Amino acid sequence: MKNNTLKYRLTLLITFMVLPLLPAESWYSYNYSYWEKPVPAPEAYRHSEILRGEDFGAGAFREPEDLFISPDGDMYIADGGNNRIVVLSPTRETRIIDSFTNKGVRDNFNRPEGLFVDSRGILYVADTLNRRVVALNADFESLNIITRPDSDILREEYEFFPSKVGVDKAGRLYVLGPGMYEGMMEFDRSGRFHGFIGSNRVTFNLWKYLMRTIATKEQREKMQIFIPQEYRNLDIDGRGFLYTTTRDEDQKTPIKKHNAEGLDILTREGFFPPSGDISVSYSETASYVGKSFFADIAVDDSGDIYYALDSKRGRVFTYNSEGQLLFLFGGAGEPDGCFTDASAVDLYGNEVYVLDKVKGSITVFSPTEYGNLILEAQQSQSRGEYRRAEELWTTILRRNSNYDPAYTGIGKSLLRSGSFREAMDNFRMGYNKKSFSKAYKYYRQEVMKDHFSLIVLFIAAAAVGLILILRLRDRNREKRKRKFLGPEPSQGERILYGFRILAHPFDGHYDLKFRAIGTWGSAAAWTALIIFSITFNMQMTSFLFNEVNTVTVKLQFEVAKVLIALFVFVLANWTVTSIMGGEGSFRSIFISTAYSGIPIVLVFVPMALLSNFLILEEGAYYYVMESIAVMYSLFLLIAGNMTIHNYSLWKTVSTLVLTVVTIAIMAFLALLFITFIGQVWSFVSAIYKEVIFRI
Amino acid sequence: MKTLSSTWKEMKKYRHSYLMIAPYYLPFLVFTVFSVLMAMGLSFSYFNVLETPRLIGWQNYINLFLQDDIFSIAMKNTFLFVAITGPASFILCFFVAWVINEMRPKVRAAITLVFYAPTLAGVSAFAIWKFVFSGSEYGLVNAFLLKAGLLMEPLTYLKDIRFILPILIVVQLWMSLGHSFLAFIAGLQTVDRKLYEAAAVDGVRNRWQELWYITLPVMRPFLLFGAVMQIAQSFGVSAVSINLLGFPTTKYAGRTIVTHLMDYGIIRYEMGYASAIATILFLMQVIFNKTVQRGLKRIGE
Repeated sequence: MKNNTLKYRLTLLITFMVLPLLPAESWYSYNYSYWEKPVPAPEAYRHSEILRGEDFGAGAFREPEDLFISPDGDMYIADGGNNRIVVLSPTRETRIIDSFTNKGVRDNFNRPEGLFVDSRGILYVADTLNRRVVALNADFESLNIITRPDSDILREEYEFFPSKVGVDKAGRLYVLGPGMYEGMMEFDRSGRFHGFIGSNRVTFNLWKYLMRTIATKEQREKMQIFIPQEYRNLDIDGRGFLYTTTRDEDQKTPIKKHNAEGLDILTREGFFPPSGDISVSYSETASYVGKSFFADIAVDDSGDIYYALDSKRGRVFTYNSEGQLLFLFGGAGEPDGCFTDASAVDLYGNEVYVLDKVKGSITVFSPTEYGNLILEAQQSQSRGEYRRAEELWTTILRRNSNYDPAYTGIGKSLLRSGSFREAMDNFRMGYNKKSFSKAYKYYRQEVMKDHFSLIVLFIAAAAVGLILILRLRDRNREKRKRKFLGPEPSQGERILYGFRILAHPFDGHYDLKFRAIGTWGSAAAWTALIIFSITFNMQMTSFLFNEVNTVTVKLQFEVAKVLIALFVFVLANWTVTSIMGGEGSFRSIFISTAYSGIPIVLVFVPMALLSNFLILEEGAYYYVMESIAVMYSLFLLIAGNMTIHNYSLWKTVSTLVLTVVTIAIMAFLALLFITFIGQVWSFVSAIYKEVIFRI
Repeated sequence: MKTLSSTWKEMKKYRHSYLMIAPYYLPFLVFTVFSVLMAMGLSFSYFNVLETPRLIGWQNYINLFLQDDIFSIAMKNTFLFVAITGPASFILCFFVAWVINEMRPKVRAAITLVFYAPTLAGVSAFAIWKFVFSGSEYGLVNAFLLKAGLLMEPLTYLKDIRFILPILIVVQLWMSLGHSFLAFIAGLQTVDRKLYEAAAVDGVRNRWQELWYITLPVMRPFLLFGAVMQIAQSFGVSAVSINLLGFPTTKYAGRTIVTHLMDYGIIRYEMGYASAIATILFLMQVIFNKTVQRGLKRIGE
């Protein structure tokens, strides 16, 4: 026993000593949750080898721009700075191509930036500064040389600087380069220019458009013109689809998949359209500003998974064909497995090769056990082996219970086998609203079918009950009317008077103020009810329609938000109306505002409950009812404002607009005040520190 | 029993009056009341017009609510028409009528014609909208957007599920301004000017109070008529969808209960199923009409 504890302690001690020596996971692996938050995740890929030119007798690479791995494992590197192509075989033997035979004459490259080897083994090199694309056979003789096409669809001043090339199975050649705004150049097998395909759209910006229309001609000329972004890089999958990346901060689709017509057919069913990092900083002081910039993309042959390389932060984002982010790896910086300026990525089997332009090295990433499981599960799923995939996803969840695609995967398998209830639970965990809705639809159908006669009976009973209640109400009508007319109504009657406002907005508000039916207390009661119904709606609305994270939402904040909004509105309205001859006091404004929220109370609570019986396609019922409630509240507010201030309609509307302006000013002043307090505080604390330091 | 016999006695007493209304009442009984009841009966059967109806109990309703996804689209669209187009058109009708009523008689006649024209034109009016929303670059909307540089290529509005429903709502709104609008104008003319003067003496201060306490209560029968027309129209939207968007529409995005009914009744000859749809539609209309009438009764109280 004693021996055992000693052993245990020793192990612990050794573990702690060894721990710092293990490769530090400083390039922190994560995945994005539905709420746009990065959630730590296990590493899916880990660097296993670093390849440098000097290690294989090829001399150091200088600014290598592109990397291509042929199906038999030969690695082609466009070593631009050395004006050569380096070929590295799987056995790590090198061949250097720095010249080739062009019609019997030796010819050289000038900064080749891209290359591609087609299925026939022909090497295509984008010989960038020589402004040509060279096709070489295995003996490095040029088969074809493509220069700037002589076509009238090209702009006069266009300079042909090909930087990336790709060839599909039919032998069509696609060329990209700077300044090629019209899309990708397409050449046929014999090298004849066919035209451009898949041009990027000009991103429309309403503000810029308005500025342009009001600007003078001189100003307009100075403005940046709207041109589509050129593509940065491309890859072609086994089925001949083209995957491209674009450097574009405005566009939501930096990654595209083109069909033969050039149309973008990428599936974007994930939480976010594939665009790399989601929560990015735009502040000037951040170390990396703005969205990801994809320098390259690599697609596996089946087209199930693609790896997009973000050269800004050195990360490789891995998506499946649905557009879900599976995992990411890499990072920015000096350590192994990180990049300073990643320029190209390619695949060999399950291994990912990333080329770094500045470091001049190739980093080989191999999947970890976790990564392998994900890849395997993904493959099983796309092959239709849902049972197998379900097992794998379950294993993955044991390693990372925050892995949302796994829940979706399990849900899909359960949906197929007909266990809708369990499928729903999994889709909910995986935040897959679309699939959840589908599973729920089947589940609801099943339940309703089992209890159809009961449901019909219930509806019939409810209808009969409703009719009876309405009859009874009609009979008691006169009595109720008299009751409300009492000189000293009780608190309950004061609160219930709100229902009269629903049908009689002007009279109701008039009575509230001038017959003193509304009091601080009754208005406070309605305020409490409004807060209750809003928070209830927030918590109980079906997961399908709820845009609030019910787990992290802080109830006290939500309550405070409503209270502050109400207070600020009443204050602003009071300020404006006291200047503009309104007759309402602060108290009566508060009372009428609180009573105007009645439609919200009456609709939000039942709709929240009802939403749990709706599927996504039926969302219209929920949204329309809620907007009607909000609009009716707004109408009551206007009616109340008209009555208590004794305004005409137009004056009411204009004071309400002014109220909104006042609220904006108040918010601005509050912000100013808070900043000022912050400044004063830092000033005082600085002096305090100085004094302490000197004493 | 007693009430029944007394009713019979009453009827006997006023038999001449019953005779007078017979020319209207008999066709109404045969072609409306009887057919509604027959549809309700048929909705529990399988009936394909050729064979005798076969009783199948609730099966049609079960299929309708549980199996038929397109019916739920139709329900949703019809709900949108009733909730958006109906009230919007009702309020719009009233305000347009109210504004026009203030104008000089000749101008009023001209503008009334302008607003009533869509209803007069009927089906041929769709040609205009087809031109406006044409999918070619010569369609009005496309042409404008292309010229402004907001579009790269023309959009096929009438075939694109993103636009089908909004377009349907807009066109339906435009079409539905007819009957209730005329009724409102007529109603406004019947309001006695003396009432306004009397009210002014009694302390009505502004136009809104005038509207609420005098115009609307006086017009209550016209408002009820307009509401009933609007609801019937909203539940019965079909011509717009069929003429503008085709039948069936792309991905059934423009399907309404009535087009669904027509699909099963006229095209597929599944009369039992179509009767079930019709029964549901009928019940919804009755309930909705009752609710709206209850609400309108309170105006000006």
